[in-house]
Amino acid sequence: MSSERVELLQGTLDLIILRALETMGPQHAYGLAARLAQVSDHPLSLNQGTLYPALVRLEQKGWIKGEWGQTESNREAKFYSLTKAGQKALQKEAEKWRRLAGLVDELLLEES
Amino acid sequence: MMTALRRFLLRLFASLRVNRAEDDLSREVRSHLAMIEDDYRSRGLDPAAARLAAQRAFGGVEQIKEHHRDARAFRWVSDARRDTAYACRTLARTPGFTAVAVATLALGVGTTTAVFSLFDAVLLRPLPIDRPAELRVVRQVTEMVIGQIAKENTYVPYRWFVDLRPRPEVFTEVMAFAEGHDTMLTANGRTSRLTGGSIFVSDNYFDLLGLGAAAGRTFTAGRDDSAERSVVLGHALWRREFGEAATAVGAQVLINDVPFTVIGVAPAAFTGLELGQVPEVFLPIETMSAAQPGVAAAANRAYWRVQVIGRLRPGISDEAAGERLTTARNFMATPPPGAARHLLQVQPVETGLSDVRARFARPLSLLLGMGALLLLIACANVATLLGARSASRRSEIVIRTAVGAGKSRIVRQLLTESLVLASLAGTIGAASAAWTTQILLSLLPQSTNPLQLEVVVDRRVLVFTITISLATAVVAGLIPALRSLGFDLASALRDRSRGGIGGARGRSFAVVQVALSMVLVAASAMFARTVYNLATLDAGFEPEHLIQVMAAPGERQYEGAALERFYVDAAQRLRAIPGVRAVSAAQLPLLEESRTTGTVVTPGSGQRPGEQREMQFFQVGADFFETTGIGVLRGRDFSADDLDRKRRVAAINETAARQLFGDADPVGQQLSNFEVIGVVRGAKYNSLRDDDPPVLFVPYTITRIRPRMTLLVRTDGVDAAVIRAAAAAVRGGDSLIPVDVTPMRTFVDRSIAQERLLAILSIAFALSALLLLSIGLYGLMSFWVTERTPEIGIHLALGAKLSHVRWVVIRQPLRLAAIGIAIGLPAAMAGARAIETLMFGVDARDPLLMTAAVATILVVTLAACVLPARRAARVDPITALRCE
Repeated sequence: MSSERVELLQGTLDLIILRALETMGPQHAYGLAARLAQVSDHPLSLNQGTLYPALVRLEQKGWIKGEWGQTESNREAKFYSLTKAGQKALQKEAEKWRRLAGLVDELLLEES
Repeated sequence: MMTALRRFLLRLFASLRVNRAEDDLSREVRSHLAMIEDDYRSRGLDPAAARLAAQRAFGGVEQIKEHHRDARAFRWVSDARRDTAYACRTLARTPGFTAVAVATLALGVGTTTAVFSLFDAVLLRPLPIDRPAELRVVRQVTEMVIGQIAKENTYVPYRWFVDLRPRPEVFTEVMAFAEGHDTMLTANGRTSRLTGGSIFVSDNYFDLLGLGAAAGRTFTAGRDDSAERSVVLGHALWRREFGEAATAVGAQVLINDVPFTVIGVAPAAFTGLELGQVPEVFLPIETMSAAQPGVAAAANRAYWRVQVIGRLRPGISDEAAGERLTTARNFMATPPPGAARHLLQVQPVETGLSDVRARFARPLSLLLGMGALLLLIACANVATLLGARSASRRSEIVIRTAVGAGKSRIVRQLLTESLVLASLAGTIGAASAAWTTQILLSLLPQSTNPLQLEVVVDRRVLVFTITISLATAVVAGLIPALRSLGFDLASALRDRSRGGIGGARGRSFAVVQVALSMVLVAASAMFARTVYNLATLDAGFEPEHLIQVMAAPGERQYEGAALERFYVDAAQRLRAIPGVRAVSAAQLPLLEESRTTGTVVTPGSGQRPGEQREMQFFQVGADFFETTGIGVLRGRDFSADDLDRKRRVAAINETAARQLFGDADPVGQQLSNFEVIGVVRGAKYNSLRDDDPPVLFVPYTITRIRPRMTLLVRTDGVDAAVIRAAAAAVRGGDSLIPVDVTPMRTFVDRSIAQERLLAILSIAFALSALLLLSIGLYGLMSFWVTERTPEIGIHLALGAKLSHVRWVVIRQPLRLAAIGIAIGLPAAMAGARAIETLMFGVDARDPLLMTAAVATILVVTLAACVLPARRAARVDPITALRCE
C-alpha cells in the first residue's frame, strides 16, 4: 500500500501548495516539494513536472508571489509567499474542498 | 472571473515575451538542483555522485521546463512566434523574391489605400454634426421678367431668414449663413489672407448643428456677440496662428482691419458644411457690413444673400415643406406686379449643399474599382510566385511531412509566410498612403477655389488597409499552401517534373492576371481617348489668345449708370493695350458650368400661335462673336450702338434657328419681342461636353446692369505682361475692385481636368498592371525553364532546333494570354457601358482602341518570355543531362 502512488485530484495540488505556504511561510520549490513528501503518508506522485506548472498557475492568478532570496545555506532561491488574494482563495478553496469531501464521505458511507 | 482574465492576459503576455521568464525558470531550476545536491552531499555522497543523484531525483529538466512553458503561455502563440521567425529567416534568405513580392503587394495595397482615403474623405466621412438627415437647405426657384429668366439657387434674401425664424410650421429651428469675401486676418502682429475664407453665421449656427467648442465657447443665442464683435476661429487657423494655445481665447484679432475678440474655437472635426471649403473664421452675421467695409453688397442688409438651413419638423415631407414655405414667403415680401412664379423648395443638406460629392462619386468609385483590380493582379502575382517557390521547396516540405509535421502545421507555416509579406506590404502601403493621397489630390480638378479636402489616414482607412492586407495574405498564400498539401509523398520524391508551367493553378493565375490587366488597359485606352477627344474638340470659339477678365465693380459701390459706364470704360481701356485685337463682355464667363435659361415665345405660323420654349440666354456686349471667334453665319454681330441704345435685338445659334424657324431665314424676324439680327455657329458655352443647345444672345444693357461681369479680350498672344496690363486696365484707378484675369486655355484645361485625372490614373493603373503581369509571367516561365531543363537538354541532344525550343517557351504563355484576353475583353466592354457618362465620344467597341489594348498585352507577354526563352535555348545538353 505504501508504494502505491496516489493520483492527485485536479485542483487539490493548488490547495495543498497554498496551505503549505500558509503554515510554513515563504518557501522555495524545493522546500515545498520536500514538505509535501514529508507530510504525506503516501509519497504523492508529485514530481517537479506538476509542481512547476502549478506554481506558475498560482502566480499568474495572483494568489502567490515569487521573490528571489537567500536560503540559510546561502543559496539563492525563488521564495513563494501567499498574497492577500491567495489567503482569501485558500479559505474559499478549503471550504469547497471540505464540502466536496463531506459529500463524497456521505456517499461512501451510504453505500457501505 | 477577474482572476481568469488576469491569468489569460499574463499567459498571452508571456507568450509574446519569453526571454525573461526563461532566464528566471533556468535560474530557479538550477537553484533547485543545487539544493537537492546539497542535501545528498550532507548525507555523505561525494560531489559527482550527489550531482547525478540530484538530477535523477529532479527528473528531465527540459520536460519540466516544457510543462512550465505550457502553463505559463499559450502554445499556439509561441508556435506562431516560431513560424513568424522561421518565415522571416526564409524570406531573408531570398531577398530578391521577398523584395519583388513585397513591392508587388505594396503597390496594390498602397494604391488602393490612397484611393480609398480619398473616397473616404469625399464620400464616406459624414458631417460631424447632429442628426444631419433632418437638415434642409432652402432653395428658391425664381422666374424673372426680362425674357422670363429662370434662376434657382440656395441664396435667399436675409429678410426671409428673419421672417422665417419664428415660423415653426416647417422647421423646428432655422439658421442662416453667408460666405465672406476675400478676408485679411491680422493676428499676433502678422497679416495674412485667409485661404479658406470667412463665414458669417446666425447666433444659433453652432447650436443647430450640435457643435461644441474646442476651446472657449461658440456663439450663444441671447448674448450680444455681434455688438461685442466676437469671432470663433476655425480649428486649423487656431493651430496655425496660435499653436492651439488656450490663451487664444480672449485675444484681439483684426479682420479686414476691424477689431474682433476671439471667444472660442470650432471643433477640429468640423470643416464646414460645404465639402472642400473650410471656413477659417466664423463671424456673427450682423457684423457683415462692418467686417467687409469694401463690399457694397454687405453695406445694406436688403442686399444680403444668405443660405438658410433648418431642421425639418418631424413628419413633414420635403414637398409639403416647400409648399408651406412658398405660401409663407408670399406674406413676407410683396411680389412685384407682373412677376412670374416664385417657388421655395427644400433639399437635404447631406447631399444638396455641395455638389462635390455628387461630382466625384462616380470617378472615385471607378478608381476604387481599378485599385481593387490592381490589388487582385498583385495577389495573383504573388500567389504565382509563392506557388512556384513552394513547388521548388517541395523536397523541404516532403521531408518535414516525412518526419511527422502535421499538414495543418505546414499550411500554417506557409500562410505565415504570406502574412509576413502582406504585413510588410500593408505597412509600406499605409505609410505611403498619406503621400500618395497628396499626389492624387494635386491631380484633382482645381476649381476657382483650390479644393481643400482634409484627407487623413483615419481609423476607417487603417481598418480598410489592414483588412485588405489580410485578405491579400489569404488569397495570395492559401492556394499555394493548400496546393503543397496535394503532394503525395512517394510520387513527389519520385517525380520531379510534371505538367505545364507551374501546374494548373499557376496557369489559371496567369490567365486571371491577363484578364484583369486587359480590363485596366482597355479602360485606360478609353480614358486617354476621352481626353484626346475633348482636347481636340472644336469648341465653336477660339480658345487660344482669348482672355476672360472677371470684374466685380459692384462690390465697390458702383451702381446704375456708373456701373454701366464702368464696363464701357474698362472695355475702352482694354482696347488701348498693345496687342489687343477685340474686346467684348458677357454676363457669365464661358466654360464656367453656369448657365441662365429662360423661355421665349416661338414665332407662330399662320393661325397657330407661338408656344413657350425653354432655351439658354446669354447676355453679351458689342463685338461678342468677333472677340470669341464664334462664326457669324448670317446677319451681323452686336454693335456698340445696339448696346448704347439698349436695342431689343438678338442673335441665335444654328440649333435655335433650326428649331424655331426651320428653313426660313430668321434674320429680321421677331422672337419674343426681340428682333433677330444674326445667326451664329453652335459652340460649347458652358462646358466642352455641351450638346449644342439652342441659345439666344441679347445685349447685356437691356436689363439691370450686373454688379459683376466678364470682359473678353482677344489678343495677339497671352503672356504675363498682357494679363497684368488687362487687370490694371479693368481696375482703372480703383485697385480694390475684385478682378480675376484668366486665359481661356486655363478654362479649357479645367473643364477637362477630371477626364485628364481619370486618364492619368487609369494609365498609371494599367502600367502597374502590365509591370506586375510581366513580373508574374517572367517568374512563371523562368521557373518552368528551370524545371524543364533536363527535358530541354534531351530535346536538344536529339537534335531539336533552337528556334523550336524558343517557340515552346513562348507558346505556353501566349496561349494563356489568349485565354485571358478572351475573358478580359468582353468584361472591359461591359464595364465601359457602366461608365459611359465619364467618357466622351468613345465607343467601347472601337476596333482601333481594342486592337491597341490587345496588342499591348501580347507585347508584354512576349517581352516577359524573351529572357526565359533565351535561357532555354542556351541549355547545354550535357550539363542538363548530367544534372538528372
